[in-house]
Parts: sequence; structure tokens; C-alpha cells
Amino acid sequence: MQFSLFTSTILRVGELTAHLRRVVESDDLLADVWVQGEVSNANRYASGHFYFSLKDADAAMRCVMWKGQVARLPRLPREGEAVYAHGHVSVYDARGEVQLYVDEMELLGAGALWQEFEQLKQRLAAEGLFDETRKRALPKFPQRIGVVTSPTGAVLQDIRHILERRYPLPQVFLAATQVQGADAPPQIVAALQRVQQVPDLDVIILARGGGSIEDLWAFNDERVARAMVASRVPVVCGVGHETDFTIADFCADLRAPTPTAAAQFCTPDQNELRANLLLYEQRLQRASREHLLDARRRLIQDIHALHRASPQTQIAQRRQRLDELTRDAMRHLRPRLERQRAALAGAQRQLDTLNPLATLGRGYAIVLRDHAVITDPAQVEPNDLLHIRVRDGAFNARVE
Amino acid sequence: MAKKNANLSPSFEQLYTELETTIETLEAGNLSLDEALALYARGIELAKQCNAMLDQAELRIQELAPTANTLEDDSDLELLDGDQAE
Repeated sequence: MQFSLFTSTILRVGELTAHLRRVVESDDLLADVWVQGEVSNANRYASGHFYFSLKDADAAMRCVMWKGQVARLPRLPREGEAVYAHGHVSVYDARGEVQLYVDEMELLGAGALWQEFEQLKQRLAAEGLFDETRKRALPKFPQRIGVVTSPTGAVLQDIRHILERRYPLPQVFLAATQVQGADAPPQIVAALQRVQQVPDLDVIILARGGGSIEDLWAFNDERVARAMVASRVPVVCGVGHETDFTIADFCADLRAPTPTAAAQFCTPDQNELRANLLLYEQRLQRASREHLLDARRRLIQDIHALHRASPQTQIAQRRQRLDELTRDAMRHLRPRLERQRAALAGAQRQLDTLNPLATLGRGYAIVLRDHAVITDPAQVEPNDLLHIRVRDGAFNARVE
Repeated sequence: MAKKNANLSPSFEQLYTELETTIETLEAGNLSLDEALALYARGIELAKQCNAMLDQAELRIQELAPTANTLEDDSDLELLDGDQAE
């Protein structure tokens, strides 16, 4: 086919989109239309405008709702929520996209996907799959971590970086799987089973980056839920999404808001560990210093005890005891001594009254000759030397 | 968590846990000086080993071949066998 510059009209892109817009806008139906569908890929920008898709089983349409109209809604529609939207269809020139400009919206509550999700959730909850009691604690120091995720994309790299930074000790076993699309659920199940064949596996991270509710739908699959519950090691679910939970979140032994967080929850932080090790060394030093001080105290006590037991001390002890005994003896002896002394004084006094010398005190004298008492004049002859004793002394005299 | 591979070099967890019990025993007292000093030496050694393990660690990632669950893939079995070598 040959282009001819003169016979064909060549449009610039802008002219084409402008023409398209004119065609679309001239259609009466498209100018004032109600559409039923489920909200998906919802995004509210900082400007306040609300961008989303309306979709059903086999089609989707980009929609925008301006800030002023959004403000009249009772609330923003949830992902997957069915709505009636009113507005006009036009073309966004910058992308050449046909869009529904929504000015009014009726929220119908749960959409079909949402209902399916709610029903499955209730059924599995009733079966006890979400019970907190069956959730297992994660190992504190995992040595073997299984990762079930897409081998391409940022998720695996995010997990790798977190592990390298926090705790690079474990071996990581990757079971690659699709995480999106119709094939994803059976692949995830197979990957979960595959990774469990690693001996001594400690924990499994099941991860996916963020996405719309459709993108994450594999994590709302009953087969995936049952495979997680059947896992012989704890499963941490790290599916990146901000608001709603997936069934996999409820089934997981631990739910993390992102793949990165899942890797964090599975591992200790080596900075903390290093800080602890430092503290532990200080505690070891303190405790052993206590023991040394204690031993020294005991040694000093022993020296004191030894001192107390030495012969010198014994001698000193006994000397003191002897003193005490002597003092006791004296104390007991003294009354008797006093009594005897009193008795002696009494006898002395009695003796005094009987003492012949006492008579001398009254002026009497005793006459002796050759130590014999003269009691009869016939006993003496003239010139005999006599010895006369009076009160204050004695003198000699001769008989005439 | 008890590990079956007790014959291999001790895991970080084993060293770290032993360090914690060593400290508790040492702090509880009622030890002879010889025992206390031996525990102190052991504790310092354990802390050193823990630090060394963190210093030397390098993350190892292995991808499991998709057929591994049929137990027919040689390379995958080798990989697992290599880790379990007694």
C-alpha cells in the first residue's frame, strides 16, 4: 500500500484524539450514562481526585471522579465493591484513553469478588483455619528460611537485603512461583510443598509485592490457604497491600504488611544482638568480680577464724579465765574470812578479860622469884631478889 | 529449637543460649571461685564466637528446582544431601 500525501489526510495524534473526543461527546448515551461494575485499582491522589477502574468479569473502564463529587460520597468505595456510577464518557487526550467521568455514585456494598472472598473467609474461619491457637511461634534464630515468591521483581531482592542487613546467618531456599494469574494458586501450593522438603527448615516466607485486589487474588485462594495451614513449619505472609487482608494473611502464622516486614519478623536484628553481646560481656565481668570479692571476703573471714583458733589466743583466753576464777574464788572466800575474823576478835576480847595482866591495870602487882609466883610470905627469905610486875612494866626488889 | 545436626559446629542459637545460661548461673552465685572463673572464661569465649559468626556471616540463597518435589532432580537432591552430610 502506498501513502499519498495528496489524497490521504494525515492527522497529528492530537488531532486524532480531539476528533475521537468530539465523536464520543456527541453521543447522547455517552453524555449521560449509568454504569454498574466493581471498583478496582482505586487511587485517591493528594489533589483529592479519585481514580479507579470499573470492571466486571470481562471488561474494564478507566474512571475519574473529581474532588468536589468525591466529597459528596458517604465514603470511598472499597476494592472490589460493586457500584452504580453516573457520568459522561470522554477522552483523556494526553493518553488517548476513553474515560468515564463520574459525577455520582451509589455504593452497593460488596461486589461479586468481595462476596466470594467474604464467603470463603467465613467458611475457613468456621473451620478454624484462622484460629490464633493453631498459630505457631517463629523461631528466634532461624537457620534455614524458605522463601516462596516470584523469582523476578523486587520482592526477592527486598527480602535478601533485609536478611543481609539484619541477620545474614541463615541459608535461604527459594521456591519460585508465579504470584499472579490463574496459574498462581497451584504453583504457590507446589512451591510451599517443595520448600518444606528442605530438612530442618525453620520458617517459610510467602511474599508478594503490592497490587490491586485482582493482582492479589491468588492469595485469596482456598488451595493456598489449606497448603499454608498444612505446612509443617510456620508461614509468615508478606503480601504488600495497605488496607484489606487476604485469606493468606488470616491463615499465616504471622501476617506482615510487606515482604520486607516479613523478613524482619523472621529474624533477630544483629545490631541488637551485638549490643546484647556487649552487655553480656559486662555482666560476665561484673558477676566474676563479685565472685572474686566474695572469695576475698571469705578468705578474710577464714584468717580471722584461724587467728581465733591459734595457741596464743588460747593462752590469752585461759589467762583471762584464770583471772576470772580467782576473782570468783575471792568473792566466795571473803564472807567466810570476815566471819572468822569476827570470831577471832570475840575470842580476843574474852581472852583479854581473863588475862591476869589485866588485873594489874587496877593497881595490883605480881611478885615473881625465879619465874615462880610468890603467893605466901613463907616462900621468901631476906635478900631474895624478887621480880615485881605492875601495869606499865616491871622492876626488881630485895626482901628485907 | 532443637537441631538434629548436633554433630556439626554449634549454631548461633546454641552459642547464644549457652551464653545466657552461663551468665545466669554466674550471677546466681553459690559457686566456688574456680567454677566462677571457668564460667567467666567460657562466657567470654561464647560472646567472642557469637560476634565472629555475625562478622563472618554471608547470606546464602539457593533456588529449589521446580521438580524437586518429585525427588527426581539430581542437582536438587545433591544440594540437599550436601547440607546433610554427616
